[in-house]
Amino acid sequence: MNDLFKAFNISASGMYAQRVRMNVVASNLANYESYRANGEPYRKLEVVFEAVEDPQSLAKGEIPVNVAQIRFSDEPFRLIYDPNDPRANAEGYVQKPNVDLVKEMADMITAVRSYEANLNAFITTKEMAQRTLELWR
Amino acid sequence: MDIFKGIDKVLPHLNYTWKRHKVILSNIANADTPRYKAKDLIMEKEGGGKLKTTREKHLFTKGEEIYKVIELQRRLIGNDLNNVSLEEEMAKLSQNRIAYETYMRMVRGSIDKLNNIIKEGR
Repeated sequence: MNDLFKAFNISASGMYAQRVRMNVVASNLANYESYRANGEPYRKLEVVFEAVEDPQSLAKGEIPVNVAQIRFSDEPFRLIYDPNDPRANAEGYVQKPNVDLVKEMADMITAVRSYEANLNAFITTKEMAQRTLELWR
Repeated sequence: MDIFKGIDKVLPHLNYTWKRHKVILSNIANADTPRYKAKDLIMEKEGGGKLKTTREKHLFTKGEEIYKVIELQRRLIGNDLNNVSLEEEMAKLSQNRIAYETYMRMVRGSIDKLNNIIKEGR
């Protein structure tokens, strides 16, 4: 029985990881123009995935995915010329968050597709398990 | 027992398809993990019969089954050193599922047959 739930856990870990990524994309898009409390522009968040590859799971090939960390990106900030902005520097440039709209949208589409793939795999597992349970009848 | 011979023959294959299903699930879950390498499961018979194996997919008729996880050698897809191809994994998933259901139906068949005998065909 544990063996059966293991299969569900693998797909569930994949769906969870993709959902975390969706949340991070949403935060990045929402904070496209934000500044932090210390006056610095908002830094883009990045999700780091990691395969749970301990020897036991590796031998069986059952490898769930894990969200290792969510970290601040150190990409350079966007520079926009706007001398009227109170945050503008001596040359009239304003630093804006390092969020790239195009990258975020692409990331979002990938996350949705991966989520769907995991969901379909989950449904397949469920139907196979039901087929097994039909042996009782 | 002898009357369960039909089921016993199918059981290793049923086991194998279920284990392989989980390996495919792992590949799909790790489709976006950097440095992850796609894996697959192969079944081998220990000791083997009289035939020599020259390919990893050759089958035997005797001995215990052993399952081996292998890493797939595929061209790199993307620049994160991950070589999972989602389409290929989904194709393998449905293929594997059909195999599983076929074996399940065979088990079902032998159970129905026994049931019929127990009920004296009534």
